Amino acid sequence: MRRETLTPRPDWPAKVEALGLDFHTQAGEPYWWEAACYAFSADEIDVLEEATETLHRLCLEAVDRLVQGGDLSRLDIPQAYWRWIVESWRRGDPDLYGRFDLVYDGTSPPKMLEYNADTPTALIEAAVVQWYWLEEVKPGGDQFNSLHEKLIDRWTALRERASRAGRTPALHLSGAFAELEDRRTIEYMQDVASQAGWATSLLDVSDIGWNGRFFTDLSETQIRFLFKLYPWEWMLREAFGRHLLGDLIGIVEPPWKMLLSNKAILAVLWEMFPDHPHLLPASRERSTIGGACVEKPIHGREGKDVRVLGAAEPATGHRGRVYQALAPLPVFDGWHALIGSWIVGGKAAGMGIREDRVPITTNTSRFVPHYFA
Amino acid sequence: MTLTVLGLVATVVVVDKAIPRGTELRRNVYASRADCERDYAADQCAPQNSGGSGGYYTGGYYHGPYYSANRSQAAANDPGPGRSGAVHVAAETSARGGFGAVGRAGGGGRAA
Repeated sequence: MRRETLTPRPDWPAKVEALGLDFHTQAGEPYWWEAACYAFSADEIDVLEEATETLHRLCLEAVDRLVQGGDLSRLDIPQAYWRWIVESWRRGDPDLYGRFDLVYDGTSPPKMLEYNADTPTALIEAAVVQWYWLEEVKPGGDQFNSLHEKLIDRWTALRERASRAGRTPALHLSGAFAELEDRRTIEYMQDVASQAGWATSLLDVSDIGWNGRFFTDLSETQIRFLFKLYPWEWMLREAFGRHLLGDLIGIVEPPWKMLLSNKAILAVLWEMFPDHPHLLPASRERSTIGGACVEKPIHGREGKDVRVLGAAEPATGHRGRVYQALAPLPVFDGWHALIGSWIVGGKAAGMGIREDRVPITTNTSRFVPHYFA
Repeated sequence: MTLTVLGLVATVVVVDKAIPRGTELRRNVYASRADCERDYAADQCAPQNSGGSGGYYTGGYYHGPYYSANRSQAAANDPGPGRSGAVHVAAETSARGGFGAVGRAGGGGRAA
């Protein structure tokens, strides 16, 4: 694994915009960054692929353990929703995708920092934009990237499942459209779902209706299947959250995925699989993590409120935190690099790399393409 | 790997920024702009469309503004259910605005 410095394509803004990445520059700072790339060997890609699928299996075992125990209080999930989540798992409600954030330097085993199992983004750039970059800039290289095909395959499987159950494959896709990146991600998901044969419609999350019997779209048509890029923990807190308990709607990601997007799962995983090579020590108690650690909100996103605590530094005292042993990101040319490794339908599907001058990756951290040879 | 992208759709999506947080809302649907403007001011009427291959009310329908579903709790500037109340074709019967409040409030970061 190494970082290469490159000369960007002179017309790169127009090229990435044509592919849907019109948020390539944010607040005047570049988000898409092709003045560099990361290069891997095929063996390193194999390691990342194996680690991703292994971690996914461990996560499913953790969900099963939590569900068997029936007590979801350690994840700070309201008790009114426990049974509904458990039933979602027991029914086998299918999931679609997720993204593991990994620390990896090309030498030591990849380690999981967190699992974006509910509302992962940075999808268009990983699935599409960096692929076209590869074809133009590194035509002899390859890329860890089958996201587009695997998403279509997975949506096809979900459509076939709906048809077998005698249900019309009509899908509403929703989220907070005021956020440009979220909207573009949803539009991309609409594209792959349409290619998989779903009849699709977009709907801002605030336009979802409730008529007293079922959820509706703006034409008062019943919403039967919903892809939502809107966090479960927010939906449960909102006015319509209680209506979800009726199970009248098939939602992607399914309710049980909220057990994995919750960072308290890091502590559960470490309890179940101590010393696993792809995990880091983690606990809800600062005192049980020796040395420096990272304090994370269990519902945090994009690095918000993440703090590095020194070896002798106590917890901040904020509620709803998990503590994970510090595993610094590798630094290349002064840039801290984070691997985002995608999984679709249980299969490793590609990766995207984010880099930043500081150790914590946030929503302003650059996306840098990669290749392997 | 072969990509068959990308028909990223250019869509028009109804995003009504006037929806207050945590309030359940309704709005009326009309067969024409003229019908809508019998109930509301011209700038309160808009084409009833949305994104996607499914589409909504593709026959040129219009909707009025959102109004509070609970009239007893309506704000002073609430547009109300319409002046004539007689010509809308499919008064939306669903309450809306029950999701999205946390996201509008900043929530704790966007989707990640």
